[in-house]
Amino acid sequence: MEPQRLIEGLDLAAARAASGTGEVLVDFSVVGRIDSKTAAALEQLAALAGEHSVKVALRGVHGDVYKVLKLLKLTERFWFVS
Amino acid sequence: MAENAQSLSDDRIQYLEGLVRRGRTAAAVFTQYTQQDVDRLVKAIVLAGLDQAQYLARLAIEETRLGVLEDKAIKNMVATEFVYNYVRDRRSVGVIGEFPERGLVEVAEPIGLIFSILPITNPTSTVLFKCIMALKTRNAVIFGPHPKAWQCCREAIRIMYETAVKHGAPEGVFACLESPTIPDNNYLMRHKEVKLIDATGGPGAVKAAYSSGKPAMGVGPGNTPVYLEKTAHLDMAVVDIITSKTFDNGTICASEQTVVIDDEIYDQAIRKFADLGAHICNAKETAILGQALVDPDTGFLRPMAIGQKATDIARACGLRVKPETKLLVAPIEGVGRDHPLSVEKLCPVISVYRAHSAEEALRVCVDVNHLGGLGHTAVVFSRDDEIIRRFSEAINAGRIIANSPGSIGALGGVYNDMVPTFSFGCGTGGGNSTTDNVNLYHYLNIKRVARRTQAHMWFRVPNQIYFNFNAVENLRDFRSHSTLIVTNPLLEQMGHLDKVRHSIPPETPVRVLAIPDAEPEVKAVLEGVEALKMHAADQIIALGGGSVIDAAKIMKLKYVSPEADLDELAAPFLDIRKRAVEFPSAKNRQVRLIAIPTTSGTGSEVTPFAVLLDKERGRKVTLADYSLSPDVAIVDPQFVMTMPKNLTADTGIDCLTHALEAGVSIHASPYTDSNAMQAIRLAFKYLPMAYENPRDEEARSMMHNAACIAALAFSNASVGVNHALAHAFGARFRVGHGRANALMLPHVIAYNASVPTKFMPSPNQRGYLAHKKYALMADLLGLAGDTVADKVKSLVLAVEQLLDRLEVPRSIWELGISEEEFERALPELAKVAFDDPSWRSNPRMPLVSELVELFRAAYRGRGPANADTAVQVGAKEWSCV
Repeated sequence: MEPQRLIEGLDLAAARAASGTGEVLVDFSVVGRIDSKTAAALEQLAALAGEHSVKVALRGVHGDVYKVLKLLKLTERFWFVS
Repeated sequence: MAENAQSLSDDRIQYLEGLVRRGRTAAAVFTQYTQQDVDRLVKAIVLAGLDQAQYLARLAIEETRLGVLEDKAIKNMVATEFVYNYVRDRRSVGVIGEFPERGLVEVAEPIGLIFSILPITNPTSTVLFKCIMALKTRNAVIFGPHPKAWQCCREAIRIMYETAVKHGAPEGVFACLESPTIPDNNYLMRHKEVKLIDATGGPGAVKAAYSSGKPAMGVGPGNTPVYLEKTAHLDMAVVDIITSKTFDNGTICASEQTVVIDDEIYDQAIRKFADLGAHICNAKETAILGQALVDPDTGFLRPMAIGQKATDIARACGLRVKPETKLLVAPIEGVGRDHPLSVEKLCPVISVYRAHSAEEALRVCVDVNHLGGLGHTAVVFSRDDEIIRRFSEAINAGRIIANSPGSIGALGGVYNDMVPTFSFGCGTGGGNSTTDNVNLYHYLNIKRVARRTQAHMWFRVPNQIYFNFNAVENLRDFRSHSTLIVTNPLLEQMGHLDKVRHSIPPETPVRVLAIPDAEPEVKAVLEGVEALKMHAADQIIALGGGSVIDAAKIMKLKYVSPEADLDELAAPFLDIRKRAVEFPSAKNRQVRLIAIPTTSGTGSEVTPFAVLLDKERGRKVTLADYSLSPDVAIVDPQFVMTMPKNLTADTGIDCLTHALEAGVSIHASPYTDSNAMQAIRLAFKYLPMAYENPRDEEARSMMHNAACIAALAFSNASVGVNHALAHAFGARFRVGHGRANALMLPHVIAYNASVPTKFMPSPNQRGYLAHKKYALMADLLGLAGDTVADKVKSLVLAVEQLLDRLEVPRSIWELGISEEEFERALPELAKVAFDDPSWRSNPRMPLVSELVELFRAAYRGRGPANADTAVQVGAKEWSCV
């Protein structure tokens, strides 16, 4: 997936998280790698979700991407679904 | 949040935290990159560095005012081209090394965020070097330049960073501290997100790095001694020293500091230095230089001299030198505070010392090495390999450069095959963690995938085993010039000795040594050795039980290898294949040992074990080595036909225990199993028959074979915890070995068949097997049971029934030992049993508390097969079977 499209999706998810409504599901199944900007967007999404007590689930996260999230200490802030 | 932030403003902390955040994210993202990705990035920054080498050199000169423009440009090129040449084809992502023959694979794991301190002396070249290392290994770096070199460093980092990101590197992969300060460094060094500190700089920076509590590589100052030995190629040596010492005006910390020259070539060498543009100082000039250049309070070179031209230094000190002077050579007469110029001088000033012998030269070099240069670099010029060897042993330096320039030689890749670097590890001598030329492998965590390997195993047995009635007649085939028969007086009286003598070829001179029928003592063994010597024997025939055969084994050992130290050879070991002591191999004498057993139990006729009693010290010495195994075993049942019933039972139980324990040993193999299983089958069938009908020739013959076959198994698989318990108990309460084994046997089977509290490491087995092996034995014996657990119970019951038929005591209390006495002895019994090597091949690792419980179970008697008095030493049975 294009990083820019992914960031747009994450921004959308962040907006939903900021509204405090329900759960947010982001599909990562076609994301093979993330860049620094995407990582930053995910950090922001996690922060907003925590702030508004919104559950954010990431679907189909690849192993390499999961490791990046682990190193950035983000795995405990998201739900992971297959 | 890092500590030590007191002296930093909030804004500054926020700035530093921003750098860390970006670097940390970049490092995390970088972990996804492939080898091809990083190789592409590295090539791009190498080309950019090469392209900007002169530009960056000029910036460095303009800002630091140290060194030589041309040399700095060359350093920048070495830092890119030579380093790239080293790293380009090396793997740094994923699998980086495979060693199939060892079952090992090495896998790279990036470190993460690195904080890297840069020196003033080699600022831009160090940046280029470290950027290449970092990209190659997928790490992010925050650079902390020297405050007086930060602008040139910042520019070098910018070029590297923009090139890297342009080619796909993660944003934030490199960052440079703006207007760096020591508090900045301290803050970052202690930051929890910084995973490694790589400090190249002065002693202060290096010390701070190591004091931070973080993993650190700190590379600091040196003081390179040079030994210019009389056999050296003088023209080459002098040119090399001048080339090296004047390179970048001596700013490389590996450059030569004091040249110790043999008296024989001293004057000639000095003339050559002068001829090639060096100014040779007189005593007065040396004193002036020393005072001017070295701070008497610190003992270090004054900063104003670092990296300056020789002519500028001379002018500043008021010395008159020729305008083309490239090096100041200052003769000194010693090393230390009284000789200021013996310290490190990062400028084109070198001291020289006249040595009147190699010993003196080496002493002076060691003194220089210890005056601030430990672990760093040393140089020797000599064509005498022995001198180079002595120098390298005397000097503590990570790099000992032979017959080439120190500074450029230490950098690696130009004059030698050392790894190219701009960071010299100085080992513990320099307070560093490595003596290596720092390279990409120091920027990686290297993970090792270690696949399970199988230990080499063996099955060793004597060359020849003769069996069945009258097998002793095979003795006639063994020619000998002199034979010694070792036996005991009783066997002589019984006529066994005559049977043996009659089978020996009549022309063979035969002597007889009768020794007591008890565990052999040192004295008896030494008498035997004397007899062997006196008669120049080339053959020993051991006729007797285990004691006699053991004695003969040790006599042979001491006869063929008089230097054998029995105390040392008896040293404990965990695995005979890996033990520390080595048995001597016979050098001069070849002696054949023929063992003829007269009991059916120990199997000593084929085992590599021997027990010796050291009465003087009140202890037993157990020797184990395949060189002790007899060469020939003659298993002739005619010698056991008259064994008394109790001896038949005791030795037979010993045989059965050998087989049962070898069968479940962690060293068991298909080879030992076949023998163990057959011995178990024979013992179950023929032991009661031989016991009840002593004249039953078939039963006697088969039990004699069973003992030997069981010994073939345990010679190679060893025994187990039953023997450890029996040894301890038998020795303490003077109970025969077979009888002591019988007391423990049912309990030990139940214990080994249950789920272990602790498993014994056993690389050659796949999973825990003891209970399944016992079940196999039950099947072999045709015992009842549908499940493994049932079969184990049947086996225990069968063993108990066998022991009952043999009329041996079934509990310790039956021996008349009171419970109080037994309980008093228990702690020591457990200790001795735990010290016994026998259990080390047991499938289940016994806890001392479990040994105590096994002893208690044996005291009460009647094993787990009897439901009323079942002993549950093992906490639970296998639920899976």
